[in-house]
Amino acid sequence: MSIDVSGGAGGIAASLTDLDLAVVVLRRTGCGVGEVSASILRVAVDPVLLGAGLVVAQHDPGRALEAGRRILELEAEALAVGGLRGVAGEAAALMALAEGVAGSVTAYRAGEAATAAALGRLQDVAMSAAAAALPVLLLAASVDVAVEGPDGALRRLDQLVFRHPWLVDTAAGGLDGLLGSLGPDGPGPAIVLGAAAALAGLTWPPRTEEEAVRILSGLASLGGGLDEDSAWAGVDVSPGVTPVGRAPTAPSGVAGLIEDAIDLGMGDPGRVRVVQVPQADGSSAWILQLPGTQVWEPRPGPDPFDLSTNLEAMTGEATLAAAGATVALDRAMAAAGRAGQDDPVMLTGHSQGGILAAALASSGRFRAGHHVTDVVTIGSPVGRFPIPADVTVLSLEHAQDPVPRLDGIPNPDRPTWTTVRRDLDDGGPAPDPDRARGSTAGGAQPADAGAPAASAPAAGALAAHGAGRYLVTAREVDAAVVAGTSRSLDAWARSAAIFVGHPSPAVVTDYHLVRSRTDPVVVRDR
Amino acid sequence: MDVQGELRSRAARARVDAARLQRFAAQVAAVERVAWESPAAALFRLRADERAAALRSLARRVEGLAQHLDALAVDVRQASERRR
Repeated sequence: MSIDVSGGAGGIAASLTDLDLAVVVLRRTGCGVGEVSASILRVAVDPVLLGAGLVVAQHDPGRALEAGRRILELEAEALAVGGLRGVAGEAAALMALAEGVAGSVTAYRAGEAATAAALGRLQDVAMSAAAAALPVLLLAASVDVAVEGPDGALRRLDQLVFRHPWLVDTAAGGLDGLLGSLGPDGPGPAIVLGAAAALAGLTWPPRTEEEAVRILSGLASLGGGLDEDSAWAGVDVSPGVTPVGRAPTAPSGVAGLIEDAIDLGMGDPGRVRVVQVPQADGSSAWILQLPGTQVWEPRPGPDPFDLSTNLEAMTGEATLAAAGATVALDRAMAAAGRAGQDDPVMLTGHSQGGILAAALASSGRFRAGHHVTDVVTIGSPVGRFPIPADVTVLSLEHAQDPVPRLDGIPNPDRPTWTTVRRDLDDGGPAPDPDRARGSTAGGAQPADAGAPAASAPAAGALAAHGAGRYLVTAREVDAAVVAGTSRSLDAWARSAAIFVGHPSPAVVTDYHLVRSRTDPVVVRDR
Repeated sequence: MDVQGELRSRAARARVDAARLQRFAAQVAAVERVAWESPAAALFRLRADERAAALRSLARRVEGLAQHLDALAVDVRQASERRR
C-alpha cells in the first residue's frame, strides 16, 4: 500500500511546461545555428581566398600550387561544414525536433481536454439514467433497509463505496445531469427544484456541477436547513490559549500537521490553531490549522464547523468559520507584533478543514491581507477551488475515501499542486466497519486519533476518511521526502521547509470560535 | 586591411562561430533535463543528445576551418617576406 504521487514539479503539467520551454530553446537554437551556417558558407565564396592565392602565386610561384590546393580544400570544407550535410542541416534538424515536440504537446493537451469532456458527459449520462431509475432505486433501498435494518444497509453502502469508490465520482460529477433529468421535463420534483434554483439566483437546468450544488443548497434552505445566514450574524473569537500537551515546536512534517488536526478534533469543539514558526531572519511563518466537520445537524448551531459550512464553502460562499479563522490568525500575528508584515502563511486542515483552507486560499480578499504560500489538504474535495498557481498545494487522498471525490473531478495537475493518493484496498474482504471504524465521515473524532485506527486493516469507506489513517499516509509522505524518491514531493518539501520539519521552537495558540446572533458581526464577503 | 589581415579576421570569425556552436550544443543538451518520464521522453532525450553531439562535432570542424585560414595567412605572409 504505497503512495502514488501525481501533479507537482514531477507531474504531467510540469513535464508539458518543461517541453514548452524545450520547444522555445530548440527553435531559438535552430535560428542561431542557421546564422552560423550562413557565416560559414560565406567563407566558401569569400574573394579574400582568391586574393590570397594570387598573392602567393605572384610573390612565391614555387608554392602557388600548394597554396591553390589549400584554398580549394578550404572552400570545399566550408561548403561541407556550412551546408545541408553540416550546420545548415543541423539547423533544420533542430527546427524539426522543436516542431515535433510542439505538435506532441498540443496533441496531448487536446487529448486531455477531450477525455475530460467525454468523462464529464459520461457522468451526466450515468446520473440521468439513475434519475430515470429513481423509483426502482428507492424501492431497492427500502427493501435493503427492511431486510438488513438501517445499520446493515449503511454498512453495505459503506463497503460498496470502499470497493467501488468511482461511484462517488460519477454521482458527484454527474450531479448536473441528475438534476437536469429531474427538471421541468422530468418527474415530480420539478417545481421544488425550480424554486430552489431561483432561490440560488440561477436558471434551470444547472449547467455545471457548481450550479447543481448551489441549487441543492438552495433546496436545503427551503426546508430551513444548511443556511447559517438564516439564524447567525457573526462569530465570536475567544482570546488565544496555549493548548495543553502540545509541544511548542513546529510540526515535524506532514504527519505533524495531521497530528494537530487530530488534536483539534479531540478537544473542545470549535477551535482553530495558529502556529507561529519564527525564522532566522527575524520574520515568522504562520500555520493556520482548521478542524474537520464537528456537527452533522442540518440546522446550523453555535459551532461553525458544521454541515452548512461544508456546503457553503464548497459553493464558494463566505462562511463564518472562515471569517472567524481569519480573525484568529490576525490576532495571533498582531500579538506577535507581526501584523501587516507579509509573513508567509500555510493553510491546512483535514476534511472540512481542507475545504476551508482551499476556500481561504482562493479568496482574493483573504490573500489581499495575507501572504498565502502553501495549502495542505487532507481528505478534502478541493479540485474545483481556484487556488492561484503561485500557491503551493499538497493534497492527501485515499482511493477509498469518498469525501475528496465529492467534487467529482481530480485535483489539477500543475507544477505547484501535488496530490498524494494511497490505495487502502489490499484486495481482501472489507472488514466490518463496526469493528474497525477509524472515524466518522466528519472531522477527526477520538477514534481517529490513535495508533489502533492508524494500524487497523482496511475498513469501510468512512474509516478510509479517518485522520488516523491519513496519519499513516502522511508518515509515508515524510519518508518519501527524506528518501528523495519523488521530484514533486521534494519540490513541495522545499516550499514548505519554512513551516514544517523544524526542530526549532514555535508558538502554538488555539482560538475558540462560536457563532453569534449579534455583535461582533464579521463582515461576510469573499 | 591587407590579404593576410583579412584572412586572420575570417579565422577569428570562424572561431566565434565554433564557440557559438559549442554554446548551442550545451543548450540543446540542457533540454534533456525535462521532468517528462516515458518511452517517448527517452526517445526525445536520445534525439536531443544526438543533436547536441552533432553540434559539438561541427564546432570542432569549424575550429579546423579557422586553423586552415590561419595557415593560409601564414602562407601569404611567407610569400610576401620572400619577395622582400
